[in-house]
Amino acid sequence: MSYRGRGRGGFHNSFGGGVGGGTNQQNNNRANFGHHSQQQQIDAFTNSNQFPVEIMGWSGASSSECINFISRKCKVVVQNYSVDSNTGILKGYVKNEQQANLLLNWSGVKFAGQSLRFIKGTSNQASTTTSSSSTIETITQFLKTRYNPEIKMLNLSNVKQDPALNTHGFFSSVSITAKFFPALFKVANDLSLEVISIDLSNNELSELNQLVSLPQSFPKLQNLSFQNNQFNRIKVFETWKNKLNNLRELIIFDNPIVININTPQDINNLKLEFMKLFPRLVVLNGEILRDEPKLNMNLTFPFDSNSMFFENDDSRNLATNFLANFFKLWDSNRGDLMILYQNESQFSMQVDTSHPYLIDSNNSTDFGNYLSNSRNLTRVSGMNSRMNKLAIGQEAIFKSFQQLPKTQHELINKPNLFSVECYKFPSNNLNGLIITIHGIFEEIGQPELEQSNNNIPSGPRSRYIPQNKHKRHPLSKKCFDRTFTVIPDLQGSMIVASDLLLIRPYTSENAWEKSKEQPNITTQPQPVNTPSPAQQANIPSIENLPLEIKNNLSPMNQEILVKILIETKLTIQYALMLCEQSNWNYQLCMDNFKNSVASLPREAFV
Amino acid sequence: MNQDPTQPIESFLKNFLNSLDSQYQPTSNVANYALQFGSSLKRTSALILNGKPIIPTPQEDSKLTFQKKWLSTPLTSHQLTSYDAHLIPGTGQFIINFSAKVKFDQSGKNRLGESADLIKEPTTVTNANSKPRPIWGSWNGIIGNLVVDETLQNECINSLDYRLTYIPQDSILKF
Repeated sequence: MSYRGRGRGGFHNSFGGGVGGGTNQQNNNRANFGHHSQQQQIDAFTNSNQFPVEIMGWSGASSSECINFISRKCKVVVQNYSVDSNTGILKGYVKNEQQANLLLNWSGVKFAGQSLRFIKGTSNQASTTTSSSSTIETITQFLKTRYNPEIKMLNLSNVKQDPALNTHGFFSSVSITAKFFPALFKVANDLSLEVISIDLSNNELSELNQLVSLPQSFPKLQNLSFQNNQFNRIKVFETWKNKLNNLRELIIFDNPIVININTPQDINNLKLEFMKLFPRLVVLNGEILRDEPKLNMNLTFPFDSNSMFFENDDSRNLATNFLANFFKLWDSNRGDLMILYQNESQFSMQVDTSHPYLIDSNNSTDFGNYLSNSRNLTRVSGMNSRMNKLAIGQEAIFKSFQQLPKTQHELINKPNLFSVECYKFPSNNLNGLIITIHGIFEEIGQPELEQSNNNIPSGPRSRYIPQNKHKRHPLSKKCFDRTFTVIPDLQGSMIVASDLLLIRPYTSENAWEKSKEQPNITTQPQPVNTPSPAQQANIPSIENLPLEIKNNLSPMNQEILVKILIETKLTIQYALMLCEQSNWNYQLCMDNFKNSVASLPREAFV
Repeated sequence: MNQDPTQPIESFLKNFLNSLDSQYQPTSNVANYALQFGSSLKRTSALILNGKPIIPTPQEDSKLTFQKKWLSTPLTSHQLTSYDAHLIPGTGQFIINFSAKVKFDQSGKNRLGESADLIKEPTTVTNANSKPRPIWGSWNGIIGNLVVDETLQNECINSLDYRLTYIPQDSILKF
């Protein structure tokens, strides 16, 4: 090769080989770099199975349309494709050589007004695959040197001066430079790096277009420094609006955006703009913009969450036994449940298709197996149809059960998918218990019986019914909420007086699990002040206040006292004095505390 | 049965949810404002929110405890999407299971319009007295269970179980 002796050896295996090589080589590498993020999505084993192909004559439409066309028409999936910016050839990978041969037979097929031509890829591409994976390695290595796991900080200051990256030619041209941060964020995302702070100072940044994916990769980001960059307009931050919802501190010193403004009015407006963009921003360039305890209070739902509630131990035993047995039989043999239902027992099912959920493209949202029996009373108005959809007594209830798909509830294996509340039925006339369960089930078989066609009017149109009857609805996962009113009978067994079932779209994220993970986030802002586990047990709260003090205070003042206790670490006596002297004004309390903290005796503190 | 007993429940439920969403008028009294929340609850209603019971104190019944706590939620907007109900024989009570969507004001202000911002917009005469404009977040999902006297009149709710089922990924509010 003519390159020999010109520069470093072994450039085929390293990202920056093009630095010393010819133009063509450089372009290949460049084009390839932009796609290494897709590269990573492919497992190691498919990597080894890939066979390169090149596609020409596709330029009548977009590359993705062409790839989709090939997938439809030729039944060959081309993965991980990219356009060689130099030659205009669309390059990609198929599973193996056999697939490549299959594709070659399709050469000449018409696409968007032109004939497509396929050829097998050259060894050139095989080597760039290696080069790309080495790019990932280089970035991974770089991340390791720049990430501090103890404080969860990523130091990305002045990346262009990093010797290791420069050796690999990461900043050898503008277009490669532009792809560095997106690539880095993707790798960090794949490594699941937990990042609270990022230092992006000294990077000559003036736009966010390289950093668009940052919020997605680091959703827990709280502290960010852009010190000494080239940002000159607030507008460029618009793309991040409401995307960094945990951002607490932003440093933007030494940027034109702050250097070039002078009037107090403009400075104030800049602060307001940043506050609008970042709803939890508290500190900007060292200045406090928001009262943080108050902000946290205003943006926290004040009711704690618990996935399971039982009024007492008896109801816990009763409800857990009941639910475990009920759903075991519900999933296996619903006929065996009929012993629980009597003549006056009631059952009905409602569908709420509009309940919010996280879209999962792998899961069908077909409710066809439920809709005609649904007793969603916001939609069923006629008295007759309302009454027809209510099953009363064993026979009618069993029929309704049989009209529902066969199911599987993973109550025992995956209890986190479920939440339960159980409490006494609030009536003295009925020694009953209400048991409510929320969760997920999977449909595993079609209903035993067709749904009753209450809604379909008789007459000439009825001749179309048979067609509908044989329609099979796809099976999928669903969410449900079910409320039983049960009455223990004299023999100690149970009777279900009322059984209300609600079906709604499947969502992979349920609220009770989500609210559980939140405390981790909120305790992280000040790692320095994190109390030891022993201290944590004594964290002041309204519940922990001594009764004689609590009873003399209004709830508002109780809250202020608790906040002061947490903030100041004063003993309760001193905190009370402080509050009283400050007229129970939280801000005044904190100001007075700061003024007098130096003169307070040691015993004033916990 | 000749008459559909579930007929008046829909407006009752909507009124109940509306009461939770009522907006504060800067001129009115905070205590009176709080008393609007869930006004159809009985004073001793059994209340469970997100699997945690509201525990009354000797000074405050469960209803008042709930109302005071609801005062510290951001402004809400509920929308009833589904419900079903059974009249339990011998009790004169309905058991109601409902499904709703709820969105929260994410402007950082509390229900009384108090903001945590230390930097203020320059106030002009026109916006000084105007109501705070909410910045609604995405929809959350909730499921509710109520046991209600069949009269559906006055204070008739014997128990309320309010459970969030879905929190959107872009929620600024923490739960």
